[in-house]
Formats: sequence, C-alpha cells, structure tokens
Amino acid sequence: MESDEELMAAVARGDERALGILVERHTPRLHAHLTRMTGSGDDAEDLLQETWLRVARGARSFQEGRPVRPWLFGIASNLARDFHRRRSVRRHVRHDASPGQTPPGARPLETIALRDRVRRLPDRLREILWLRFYEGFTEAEMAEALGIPRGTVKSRLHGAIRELKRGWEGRG
Amino acid sequence: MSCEAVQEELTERLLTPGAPGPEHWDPALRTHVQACTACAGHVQFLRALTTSLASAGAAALAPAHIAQSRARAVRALRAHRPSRAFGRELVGAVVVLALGLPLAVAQAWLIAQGAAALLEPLLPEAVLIALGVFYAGTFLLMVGTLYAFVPLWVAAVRRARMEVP
Ligand SMILES: [Zn+2]
Repeated sequence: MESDEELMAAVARGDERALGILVERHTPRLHAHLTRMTGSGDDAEDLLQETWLRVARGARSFQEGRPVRPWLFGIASNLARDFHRRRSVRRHVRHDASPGQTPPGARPLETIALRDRVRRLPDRLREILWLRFYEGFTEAEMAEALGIPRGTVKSRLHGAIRELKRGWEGRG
Repeated sequence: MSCEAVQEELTERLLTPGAPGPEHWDPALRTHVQACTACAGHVQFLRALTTSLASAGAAALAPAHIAQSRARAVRALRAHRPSRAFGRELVGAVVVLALGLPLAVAQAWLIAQGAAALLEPLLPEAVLIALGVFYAGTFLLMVGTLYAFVPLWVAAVRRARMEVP
C-alpha cells in the first residue's frame, strides 16, 4: 500500500488517482473530526468538501516529505476554527451531532457531564484533546497540524486536563 | 518522581487509545500511583474522561459524500494544473481565429468594392477616400477587439471549469 506521503507526491504532479485514494482513505476520520469541531454533521460535510478542495489547490506547492495526515487535519481544523469565528456557534453547539451515539438515558450521568465539560472547553484546548484521543496524534504531529510549537501543544493538553479535572473533582 | 510529573505521564499514557495497561507501566510509576491518593485520583479521572470520550459515536458519512468529495477534488486538481494548459488553450483559440481571418478580410474587401462601385458616380473622390479610411479603421478595430478578448475568454472558460458545483 502506498504511503500518504508517496500519494501526495504523486498528487503534486497532478495524479488524480492518487488524490482519489487519499480522499477515500481520510474522509471518514476528517468528517468525524469536523463533526466534533462544528457540532453539526451538515456543516462538517461542507467543511470536508472545502478541505479537499484546498488540498487539490495546494497540492503543487506541497512540500515533499512533509507528513500528510497532520497537514490534512491542520487544514480541516483551520476551516473549523474560521467557521466558529464566522458563525460564533460556540455557545449553541448542537448536541445532536452524533447520530450513532447511545441515547443519554443509557449512559451514566458522569459520562454525560464530562462530555459537556469537554464541549465547553475553549476551542484551542478541545481540539488538542480530540486530536490526541480520537486521532492518536503525537505531540509532534499536533504541532505540525496546528502550526504551533510542541511546548504549546503539551501545555494546552495538560491545561485541558486540569480544567476538566477541576470540574470533575467539584462534581456532586 | 513528583506528583506533577507522574500525572503528566499518566495523561500521556491513558489518553492513548489501546495503550498498554498498568501491568506494563514502569515499576516506579506503578508504585507511586499505588501509594499516592492524588495520583490514584488522577487515574480515576482519566478513566472517566476516556470512557466519556469513547462513548461519543462518530457521525456516519454516506458513501455518496465520499464520492462527491473525490469528484470535486479531482476537478479542482485538474483546474490547477500548471499554466501550460492555459498556453495550449490560448494557442488553440488563436489558431482558430487566424484561420478565420482571411475569410473576414475577404468579406470586408468585397463589401468595400461593392460600396465603392455604387457610390463612385454619386460622391466626390475625397469623400470616397474618407469613407474608405473610416470603413477600414472600423474593421481593424473590431478584429483587434475580438483578438484582445481571446486570452480573457480562455481564462473565463478555465475558471468556469475550475469552479465546482
Ligand atoms: Zn502523586
């Protein structure tokens, strides 16, 4: 199987087949990430299309050897952040974003409360937590994706954990 | 090991899906957690957090959307090919126009000849010459304008192709 980096090098030369493989390979996870970021499956679909358009448009200037997955998630995260800024939806993020999830009654209250706290985290802390947990990104990959130093990634991750733990300890 | 360092280490370990369990931890870390209430509490918190995060199902994406993303991306890639494509389209358009040029000139010439034959007995020569110059000028201006629009037209066609529905 060709690596993402090999495929992206081919895309940079105009290889449509390689782009198709990348789209098939990464779209489901990008969509899940964007759904979490925007709180809406429909908005996530729009941003997903835009993500791939940007990939196609930026393909020729893609720096060969650069890790592809963090780059893709970086584009998607930037779009989601711009989207938030434009719509300021932070305050009314819809909670029906995940059709596959179990109904609230089936989960312990603590689980629901923690997830709500995660949703209320500032964007910059939340996206780090999500990239870490759901995408398994390393510190270096998150730094690459978000265009920030590794030290900042680390402090944001631990900042998010501290913030959540404070709320969790004060529960009940 | 300080509690802060232990808790950072625990965060790194427990937030990694599929990470090995405590039995695979460094013995010093395991011993600290067993003896320290604060760090044991941190483990408990991280477990609650990961359970909570894992319980969020991912929204399903219809295969049609993947196909749509793919088609649009491929179209955008095609539209962003090196500008050689633009050069080729431009040359093609100019060739077509150049082939049409003798036809346009011949037609203009015939019209001028016919008009001259009709007006010669009626108008003085100076007026005929002035009309001829005006006619030729108008013809050149029209052909020039048409040719000047070729690159603009090619660019517009390319842009329309680039724009994805
Ligand atoms: Zn401790």
